[in-house]
Amino acid sequence: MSNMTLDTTPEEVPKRKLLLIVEDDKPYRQMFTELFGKEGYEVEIATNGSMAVEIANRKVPALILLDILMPVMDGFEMLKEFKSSEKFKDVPIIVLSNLSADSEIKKAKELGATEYIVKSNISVKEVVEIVKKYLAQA
Amino acid sequence: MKKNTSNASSVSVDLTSGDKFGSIVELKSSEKKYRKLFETANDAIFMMTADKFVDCNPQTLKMFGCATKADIIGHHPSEFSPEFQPDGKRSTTQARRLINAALDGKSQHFYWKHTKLDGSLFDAEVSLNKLVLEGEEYLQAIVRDVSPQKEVERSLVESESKFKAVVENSQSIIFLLDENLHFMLSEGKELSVLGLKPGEVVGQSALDIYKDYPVVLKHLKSALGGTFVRDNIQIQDVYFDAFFSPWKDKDGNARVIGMAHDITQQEIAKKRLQEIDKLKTQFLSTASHQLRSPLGTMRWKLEMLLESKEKENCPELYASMKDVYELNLRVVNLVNSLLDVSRIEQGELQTHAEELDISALIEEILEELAERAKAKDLAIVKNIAECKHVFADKNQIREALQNVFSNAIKYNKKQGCIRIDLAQNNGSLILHVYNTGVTIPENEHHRVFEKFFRAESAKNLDVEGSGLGLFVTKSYIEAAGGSITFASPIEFTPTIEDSHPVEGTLFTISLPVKE
Repeated sequence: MSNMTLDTTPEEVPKRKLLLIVEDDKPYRQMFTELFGKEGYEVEIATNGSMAVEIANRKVPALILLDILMPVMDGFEMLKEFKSSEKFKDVPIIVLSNLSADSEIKKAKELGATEYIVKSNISVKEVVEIVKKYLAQA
Repeated sequence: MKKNTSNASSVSVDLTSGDKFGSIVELKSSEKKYRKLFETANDAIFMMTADKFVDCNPQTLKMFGCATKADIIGHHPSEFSPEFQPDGKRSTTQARRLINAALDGKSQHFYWKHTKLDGSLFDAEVSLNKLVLEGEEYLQAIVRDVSPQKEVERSLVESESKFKAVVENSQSIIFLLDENLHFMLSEGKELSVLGLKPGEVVGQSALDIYKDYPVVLKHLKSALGGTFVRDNIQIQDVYFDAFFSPWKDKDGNARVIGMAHDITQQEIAKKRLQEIDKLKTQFLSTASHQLRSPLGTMRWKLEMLLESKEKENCPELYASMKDVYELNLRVVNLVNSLLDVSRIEQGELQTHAEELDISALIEEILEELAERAKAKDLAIVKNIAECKHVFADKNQIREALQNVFSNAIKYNKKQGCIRIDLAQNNGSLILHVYNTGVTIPENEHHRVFEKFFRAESAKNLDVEGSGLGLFVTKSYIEAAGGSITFASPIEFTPTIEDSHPVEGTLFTISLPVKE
């Protein structure tokens, strides 16, 4: 899969911006790494919320992709933590989860999520486009 | 009584002794009167000694079924009685006792079972009085046939005992309350589940006994006011299916008649079923979520593979991969439908109403489905009017319309047709979706919107379907305050210009319009 390409143009994307991916599911983590690393972004992966806080404390991310169901600190708690912090409150957070109940979407939005995406209902192409859009704005 | 007795004696003197006592004018006139009375009386009147009849009036002959006086006179009364009286005592013994008591000067009045000459029985009321004539002791007997009254009495007793038996042996609780809601009757074996004995609360006020059960009091008052109420009520740990009926007694007093049947076991079973159903729904929800992770991963991986340059090198592999990808999407959709169902069943359906451009939404969906319609070479005819002011949840309405349009394609025949009419009238948006696909047999009509239902005719088509689409569609349309119905088979003309109607199925969606 190493020589696969997506309809993206890495040259236009600022390279030094940090994309922080918070995901505990291994296959997803591998895919994210493959997808975005190849795009030339600085990609950091955390497997839970508190690990994400540590990484963010070292370097403020330009965008966070956040799963909800995770051990230690779940996505909701992490949203709360980031959005109440002066340092991180402006970092856009896109929730990428397989939870899809109205109540969960509403909760995430109320906690400050920029977008809420149900993973299985979106194509990989669309995810990349969304990420690129936000990183371009950052 | 005494006077009668003496008069009767004078009558009998004349009758029995003829001219024996001579004649006085006054006496003769009196005698005539009493003879008339004696002969025309409706009661049997006769004279007897301790052991035989000595004279009788015509009614006696009639009552005892005798042709002449000779059939009676000289016979003992017990000859006109059955061997035993209804109380089980021997007639001869009993008759002797009564005759002797009367002869002792104590007038006797009693009920007696008599027999006629032919042996048939009748019920009688008998009066026995002592007379003394010329130093001889006689008894005057007046016998009244009371068979009809006895018959009525018997049937009343029988009916009451039947009623009593029914009430007392009733499993259900039966109660009657007066206008002040005091118990007049409380019977039924199930009283024991409340720790009560039959009749125990009679005289007590239901307002006191059920003061902690406002629902019971409310129903009792409603029934007193003339309204019939049926409800499931809970008293202590017991569930009852209870009726409260208004009633008026013969004097017009308001009463409440009620019946309550213990349905605790059924309620417990129902609750358990509900719990199991809830668990099932939760399981469905959890399992679906769990499925989403690997399915989503698979989807992205397949998409990445399909985008890779390798596809040119191995077209067969690429085609197979594309098939797998399509299958993956189908399972993703199925999981989404299952999650929709579990959400609907858990009552967690939330709607976010916004103003919708339905005609644009229809075009958008048709655009998405265009490839599939083209594959079947379907003609799509649209008569779409502009519709405004429809407020509903966009995602839900989109999914509902998608299901209906997708079905119209999926179950259609090759080179068939779909006609879509959208119009707005009388505060409603009406969308008709006709298709020339399989019709739904009438015996399956009632199940079309049930979950997991698929019409036999649809199954035979070898078309994939979960049986969830229309269930979800109906839930979403109804959540928006609308309705969905169908007609199948139905004849329609694909376009106004067409003169030949075709057969198919019509789904009609109605949504409210806010002016």
